[in-house]
Amino acid sequence: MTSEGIIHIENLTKQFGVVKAVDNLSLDVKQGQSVGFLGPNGAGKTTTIKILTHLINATSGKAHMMGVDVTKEPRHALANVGAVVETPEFYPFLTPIETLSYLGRIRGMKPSEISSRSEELLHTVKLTEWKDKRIGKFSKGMKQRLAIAQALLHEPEILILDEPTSGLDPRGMVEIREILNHLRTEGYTIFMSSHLLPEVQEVCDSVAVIDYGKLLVYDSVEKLSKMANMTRIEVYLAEAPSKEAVERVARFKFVKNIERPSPMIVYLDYTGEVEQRYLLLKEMLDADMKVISFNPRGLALENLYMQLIGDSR
Amino acid sequence: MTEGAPIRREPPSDLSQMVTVVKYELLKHTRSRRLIGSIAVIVLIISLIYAIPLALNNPYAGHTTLQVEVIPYGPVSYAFLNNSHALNDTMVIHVNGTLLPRSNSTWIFNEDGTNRVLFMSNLSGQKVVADFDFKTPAKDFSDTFMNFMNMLVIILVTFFGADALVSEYQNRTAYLLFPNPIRREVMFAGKFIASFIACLTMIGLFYLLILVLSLISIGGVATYLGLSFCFAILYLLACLAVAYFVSSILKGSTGAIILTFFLLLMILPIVQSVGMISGMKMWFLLTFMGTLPSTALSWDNYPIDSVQTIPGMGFTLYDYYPDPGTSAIVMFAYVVIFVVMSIFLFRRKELTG
Repeated sequence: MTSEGIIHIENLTKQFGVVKAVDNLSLDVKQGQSVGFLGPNGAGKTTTIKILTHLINATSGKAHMMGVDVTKEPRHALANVGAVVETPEFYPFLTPIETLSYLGRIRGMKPSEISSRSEELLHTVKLTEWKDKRIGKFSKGMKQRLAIAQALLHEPEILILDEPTSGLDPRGMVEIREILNHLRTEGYTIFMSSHLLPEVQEVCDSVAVIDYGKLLVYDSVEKLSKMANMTRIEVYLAEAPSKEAVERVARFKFVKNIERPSPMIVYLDYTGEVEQRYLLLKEMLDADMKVISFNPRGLALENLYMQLIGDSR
Repeated sequence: MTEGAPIRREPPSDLSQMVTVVKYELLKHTRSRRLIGSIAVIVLIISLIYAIPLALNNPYAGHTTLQVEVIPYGPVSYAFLNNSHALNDTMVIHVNGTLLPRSNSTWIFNEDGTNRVLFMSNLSGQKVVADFDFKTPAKDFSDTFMNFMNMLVIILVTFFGADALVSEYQNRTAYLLFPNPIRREVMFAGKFIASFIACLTMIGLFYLLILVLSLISIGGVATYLGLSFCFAILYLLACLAVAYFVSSILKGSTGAIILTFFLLLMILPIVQSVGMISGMKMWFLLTFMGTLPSTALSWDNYPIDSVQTIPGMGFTLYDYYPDPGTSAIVMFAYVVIFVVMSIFLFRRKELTG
């Protein structure tokens, strides 16, 4: 094992005709790190993940998993990888138990281990009652949960997840996030793409943003949030404010943007820390705004993301 | 949550993975409607082929008594039996109700396929009755069913092979299977073997039914039924390899199924017919070898190529039969070439959708 990360991407390029879906991308994910992979549609996230999981070949560059080049030795590179790419379909004639048994055997697990892990994981993803039912009858959300279960089946060192909560209802999303957070504490390395920035902020400790196949930024969530240095405050008012009051707040020096989704709700994007937030609240009260709720929404990452993508496009 | 810490693993052997793929592919096949459909088709076709002669009052074996029409021929006379499967040893002739003893000086029965009884005296104008047992030869009995053999193979490879690879992409199951530590060629081998086993089981059922019906109906089995089965297996393998090739190049299951079916059922036979008309023996065409399971039944009297010029019609008919040795080599070559090409394409195919 060299000093490179457990996932090591170096000058990775994938070209479809004249279009470069991934353009000279380099990225290192350290063992135990949980990295969110962000970007708009068509940015190259899924293409990168497909190269990492050997679903497509790279045009050039390296993609190493635990020091093994997945483009050259996919069999060994993927031995310790669990993956959910897009929303996979399952063989409709098999049951969850049979599907997990199939994949477990391919991954070299012993039958007793497959059996115990399958029971445990199906319980975790709340599919125990459905374990002997054919998957053909399952909803998209159930399939997504089963997809998560199969990725965790062999207790892989690396988890590669492409929008893991896609297709799940809010409760299902929370459950999957809980699982991912728990896995993070257990030392799993997670590399996940998502469109849901709060999800990434909750589950990941680092974020990589790409667009047009190029890496725009890659750093810890904490540092990136500071980099954004902008917070959104959601303000609820007892009554609609006057036009003058809104204009006064909008002119306040820390305020960068103001939105009014409804007469008695105001969104304020401001730069600064706690002190500036206090001054902003004071300014609103001085402007005779009847504030009944004043809460930061914590979307610094979203703001940064929008800024990066805006600059990129 | 009871997740444990990650475990570092090594992938199992290729052979072990291949056996796993075979097992679960077979499980899929056994639960699919295609398997039930195949069994239904086989049982239905065999039943129809078997029952139609019986329904038309043409049993495969039995005893019959029939009055024959005697044709004078100088001092002697002859008659044709309206039954091509009369057993010589059981035949008795009565003239006007009186037994005509059998000897070379009274009457003889030609067993040369002409079904002719030659009387050594002129019996025209008299009531001559032939009484005999009859039994369809085992080769002929089995051959009756072999006309369906080619079609059956085409149906089976279409059902179990045509979309075996392409469906992984179209149904998105590749997203589940491919990111695993398994070589594509191992996956291919497992799928191909499972398809072959499924098809072979159906072909085996087909031959088993023929064998059982043959034993029940005529009390015997064609001598070369086993050889016919061997050629059927080889033909099946070659067709399956072509089906997998189609599956590896197309992007949709429906297209692969239609192309495989019509390629083997119509396109290649049309090319073959054009060759026949122009006097070219298409020994290299896969479907040309589709008659081998049938012709193999006549192994000791193997049919030979013939050329017939139709008088006054201005054209010649060519009747070609596959040479067993050459055909076996050609079919084997089909298997190797198409399997290698399919694996090559399957390995390169990307999941870009």
